[in-house]
Amino acid sequence: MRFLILPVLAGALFSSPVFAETSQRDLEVIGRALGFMEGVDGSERTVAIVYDPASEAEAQALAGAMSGGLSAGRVTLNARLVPAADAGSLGGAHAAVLLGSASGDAGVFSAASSAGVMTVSTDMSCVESGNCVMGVQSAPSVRIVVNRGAADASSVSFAAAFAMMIEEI
Amino acid sequence: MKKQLITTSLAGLAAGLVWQAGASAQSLDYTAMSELFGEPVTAGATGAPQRASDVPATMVIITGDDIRRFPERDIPGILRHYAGMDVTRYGIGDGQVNIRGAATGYVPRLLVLVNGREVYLDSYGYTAWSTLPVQLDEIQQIEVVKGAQSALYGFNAVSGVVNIITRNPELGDYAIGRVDGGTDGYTDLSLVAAYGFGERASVRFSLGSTRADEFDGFPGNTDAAGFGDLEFSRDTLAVEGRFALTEKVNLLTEVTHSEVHQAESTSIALPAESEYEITSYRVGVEADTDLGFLTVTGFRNEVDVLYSFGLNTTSLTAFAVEDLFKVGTRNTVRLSVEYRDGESNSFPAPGNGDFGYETLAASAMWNRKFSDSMELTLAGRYDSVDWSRDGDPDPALYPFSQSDYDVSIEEFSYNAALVWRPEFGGAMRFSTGRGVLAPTMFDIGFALPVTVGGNSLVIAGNPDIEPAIVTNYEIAYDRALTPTLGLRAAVFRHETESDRGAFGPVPDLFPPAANVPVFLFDNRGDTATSGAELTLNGDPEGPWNWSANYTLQSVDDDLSPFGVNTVRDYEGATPSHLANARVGWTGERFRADVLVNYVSSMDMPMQPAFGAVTRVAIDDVVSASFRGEYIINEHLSVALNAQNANFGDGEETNPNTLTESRFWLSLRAGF
Repeated sequence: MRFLILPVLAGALFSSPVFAETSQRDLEVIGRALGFMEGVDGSERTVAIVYDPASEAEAQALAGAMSGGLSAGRVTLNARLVPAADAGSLGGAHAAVLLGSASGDAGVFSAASSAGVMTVSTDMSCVESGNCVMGVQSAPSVRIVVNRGAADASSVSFAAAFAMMIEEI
Repeated sequence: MKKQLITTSLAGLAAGLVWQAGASAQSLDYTAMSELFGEPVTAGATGAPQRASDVPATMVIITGDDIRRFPERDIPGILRHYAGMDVTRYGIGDGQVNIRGAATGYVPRLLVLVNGREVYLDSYGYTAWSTLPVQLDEIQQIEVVKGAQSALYGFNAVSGVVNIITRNPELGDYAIGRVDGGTDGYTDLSLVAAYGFGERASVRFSLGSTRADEFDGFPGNTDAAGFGDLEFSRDTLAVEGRFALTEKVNLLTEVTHSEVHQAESTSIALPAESEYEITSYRVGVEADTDLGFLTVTGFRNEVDVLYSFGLNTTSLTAFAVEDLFKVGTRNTVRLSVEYRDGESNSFPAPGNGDFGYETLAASAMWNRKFSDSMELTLAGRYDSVDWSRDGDPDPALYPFSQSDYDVSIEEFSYNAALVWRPEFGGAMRFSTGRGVLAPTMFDIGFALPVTVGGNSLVIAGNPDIEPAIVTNYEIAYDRALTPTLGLRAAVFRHETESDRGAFGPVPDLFPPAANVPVFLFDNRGDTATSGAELTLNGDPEGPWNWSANYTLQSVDDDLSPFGVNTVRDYEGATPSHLANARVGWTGERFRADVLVNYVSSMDMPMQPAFGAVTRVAIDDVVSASFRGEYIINEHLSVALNAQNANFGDGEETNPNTLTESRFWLSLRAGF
């Protein structure tokens, strides 16, 4: 039996989605990009970190990076931890960084968009599938992708100069 | 000090305004954008904002931080350190700049803009760089776009475009004062400041005053013999206001004034002493609408130049309307129309009728992103120019009547560029462009009687002169070889048909074809330049950084015989090899830069007195410069500058003057 279980466990392990972790550099890029969102006054931005149980440690690390306010260009980021299961409580946040399986969760996007929250992930498949407004990659070079449909659904818009310098899909 | 060579075409007056006049979110915040993307940004290549790595032309972006580290006093001095930049220093204030070709006197092939406003002189299409109402301390960045760019910028942009962008006062208050003092009577005072009045209004103020002894004249250049006794003077003033009328509508206004007295070289290699007095006015409105960014801009340049051969009073009034918008997610489109009115007094001799032109132009740019790895940019422009003259030139002297000046010129120009990011890394750019070098005031309307050897002759503009057409082809490649080492390379070819230019020492018309012998401005044949550029930038961890570049240029002239009907000799006056290197060190309180430049030998035209045309051999030149700056505190610094430190009392770099070593101290206070 042991010989059967091991391959099954290994298969399960390797077939599970592997999510790239969001780094502090990613966070800084996200923060600077938030500075080009339209319709937001002031320099303080509340960033919800939406996580699944598997990415809780990553969420805690990001919240730690924003502890006391993380300065990123024009804005200062303040974190709010939100379990994916509580996505309905996203109201009041300016942006939601989706971690782990939350980045592919249509329910999370639906909750965020209905609250007018800009969703962002470092998992590019999220923005490509329309489950995020923005996809961000900070290395080896900065890449920012915005899904127009998702942005419209979330009532989110960006400065035109910014929109012309990023990829839109 | 990082050099950013990039790739593509243009942005014009209106484009400059769109991205600089806007308030808050609509402005192109160069600093914020550069920090976000980790590289310089620009609107100078297509009119649309782009990352430096995305632009479809070979381009250099020199940031304000770069500028501060050069031991240079002016923009031509800075530009000489970059690949493909030909710079000849004819006088302390007369640095002439060309891109990939001879920097002759009064180079008419370059379009120079300050915040989108044309600052080259409409009289002959050249730039008197010392007259620019800009202080180095207020420059956000200098953008150099290489190659013919007429489709986006219009006439004159045939070897390239230099767009100087000052810091946007909307994006933060600042005040910088600098006092320089050095050898050979050099003093320079610079004061620049920006201040915001609440959320909706801001002002930029700029003042500069420079004095310096001119260089000594070149040995044997008789008309330049007294240059060493002249004092170069430069005084400039600029005031700019930016106002957010609504969240989506912005207003910009600017007034500038400059006065300069300097020694220089004319277009016919004749030494001269000139006085410039230039006033400009600019206004722009930009609106972010559902139809895109609509921009309406206008400017007027009023120019008085007292040349050695007469007073030229010209004015240029221009208006442009532009719309920049995206179609879908992959297409960016820019449409514009432009009207220009240029006027000149009867020049240099009075009484022959004022003259001028009107231009109506329409242009379009389309950028299409086919995929993440493939991008195409196409641009086209149509210009219609109508010349006229108010009266008959003296019929006893000149071969043209008033009606002869009723000429129309219609030309089409284009730019096309493909950017490809191959899987093996980097970005390749394939580009071509057709530029138009339109006849200038001098070319069309010049009228001057002269006496040579006791004989009466005239120098006359030529209403039959045709535009020169410049076509360029280029392939460029750039990539990061390592995280701290960047490579930029390009091969290029520029072809000029019907180069238009000044006269030679032999008249073009004789009696009975004319009443007196006539020296005529005319087309003088073809020329082509082929070459390559290579730049390496190193920015390793630690205090050191460096850069090195090399340019190869090969010119093939098919011009009228030198010394007969022209003094043009691009083959002789273009150095085959240019090389520059810089090493910088940055510490907590001290930073230093050492720069070395190499210019290979040339045979340059010289006309020491009117009619005496010859060539002068200029040997290879190596110059070494140094700048060391000590940061006293967060507001104060002091710097020692040594420019061309190995030149001593004079090095032969051109046939007009001897370029001297100059040393100066700078005391800078910034808040």
